[in-house]
Amino acid sequence: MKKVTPVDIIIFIIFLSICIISFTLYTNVSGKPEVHVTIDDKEWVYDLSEDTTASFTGPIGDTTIEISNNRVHVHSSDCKNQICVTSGWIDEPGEWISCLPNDVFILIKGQQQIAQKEETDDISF
Amino acid sequence: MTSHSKVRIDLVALFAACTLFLSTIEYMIPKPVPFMRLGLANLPLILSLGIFKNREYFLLLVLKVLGQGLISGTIFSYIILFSLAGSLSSAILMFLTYKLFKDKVSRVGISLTGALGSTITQLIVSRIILFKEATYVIAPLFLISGLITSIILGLFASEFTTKSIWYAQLKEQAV
Amino acid sequence: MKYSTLRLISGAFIIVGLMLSQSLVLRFCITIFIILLASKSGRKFRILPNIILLVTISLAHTLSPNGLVLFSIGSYSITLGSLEIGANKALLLISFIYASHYMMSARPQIPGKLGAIISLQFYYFDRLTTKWHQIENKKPLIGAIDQLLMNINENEDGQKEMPKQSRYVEKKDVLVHILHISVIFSLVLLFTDQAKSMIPFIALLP
Repeated sequence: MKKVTPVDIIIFIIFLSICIISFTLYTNVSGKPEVHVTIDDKEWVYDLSEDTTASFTGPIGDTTIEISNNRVHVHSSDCKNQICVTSGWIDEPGEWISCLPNDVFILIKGQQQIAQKEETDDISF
Repeated sequence: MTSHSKVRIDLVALFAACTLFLSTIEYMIPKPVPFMRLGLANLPLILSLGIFKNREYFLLLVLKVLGQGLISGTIFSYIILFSLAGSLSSAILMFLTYKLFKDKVSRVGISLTGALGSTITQLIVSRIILFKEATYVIAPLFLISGLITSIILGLFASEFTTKSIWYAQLKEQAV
Repeated sequence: MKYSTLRLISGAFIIVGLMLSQSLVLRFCITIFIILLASKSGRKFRILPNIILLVTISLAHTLSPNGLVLFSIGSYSITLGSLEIGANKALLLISFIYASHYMMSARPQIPGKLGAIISLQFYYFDRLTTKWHQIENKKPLIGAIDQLLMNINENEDGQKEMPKQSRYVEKKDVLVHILHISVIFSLVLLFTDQAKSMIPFIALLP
């Protein structure tokens, strides 16, 4: 048995390329969309890709948001006009829902995908 | 039990004891990151290829996993899930690589496949139960340390196969 | 019944209690108790590795934000909820490790052919650990390892019995193990909603 064979080299190259691919995965983590909720100067953050529900207490009462299937909406709110609930689901970075009476502001932050970014740029300019 | 099969089982038990011994050493060596793997316990598996029959090889694998669980006392906890998944996939990959390429692959190549299999499997398991997204952050570190340690290990293994008299005797018995 | 079997059963109940616990404080209490049990049955407890485990797993979970922002480093924010989720998982892991130490501390024996091979494995393991010093700092290393492995085969004079035979259960042992289990389950009960409504202090805990 020789010390190093061509097969060894091939296996080594496969291993090395997987190492390199893993570095690109690493940089993807930071660009994930997040749901930011602000009341007064307090801020809450949730991962858009993790299904969850959360309640917040504002001046009027409770506002409950629900995150599911990479989108978020206001599930229920103690405010009178219910505009925030009827706004429905949002899923793109930059989109927001606000409940003015209860002072709750919900915003999706994150890197937009390049294709979509160009699309919105075309519309706005 | 014939005397020949008793000798073989004795040999498997000796190899299994070596995996146990090496994993104890690995456990005692301080590591900068918990769960970082040197893969010392893989050495007996790498060496056993070529002198063990297929079923002896897989018996050694079972003994390796069970023994590690017994000695660290983690047999009923989900730590064993990590070592089980890692050991299984690396052992099967090493076995297939050896059967496929025989003498065209050296111990270094086998060691590399083993490390690759076990690292990726453990990353998947930790993605599911323990670290979530953070797995992507530790992945490069895990993979690169696996690459380096498995090359060193493989070089030692091929050195051992050529220089060891004990190993040469075993190989003669196998043929 | 053998003592090791009683240990196994008692450990199984403790793990069930562990699974039932959800709140962070409860899990912390149970973890402490299980560590006490394990160290009483001879397991050394080292605090540093466990703290490293706790901190790394908690920090790992902050990558997936959840809840109130405690502070931010650039666009990366450390959130309270994600730290709680991480700490909860880490505590579960730690208590699992010590619970299985506790279960295995009486060395339950595996029956059958596989059990026989395993005792042989541990016999050789014992030989390796006692003879290990022979090859330390020896050169050439491979020659020394050869010497060690060949000697192991030559000296082998039939399989020795496992040194630690498990004794049979006494009345006292049963009582002690029932005490172990009941402590865990009273902790779990203490943190149920009913208990919270009766004892206001517990309701204040997260």
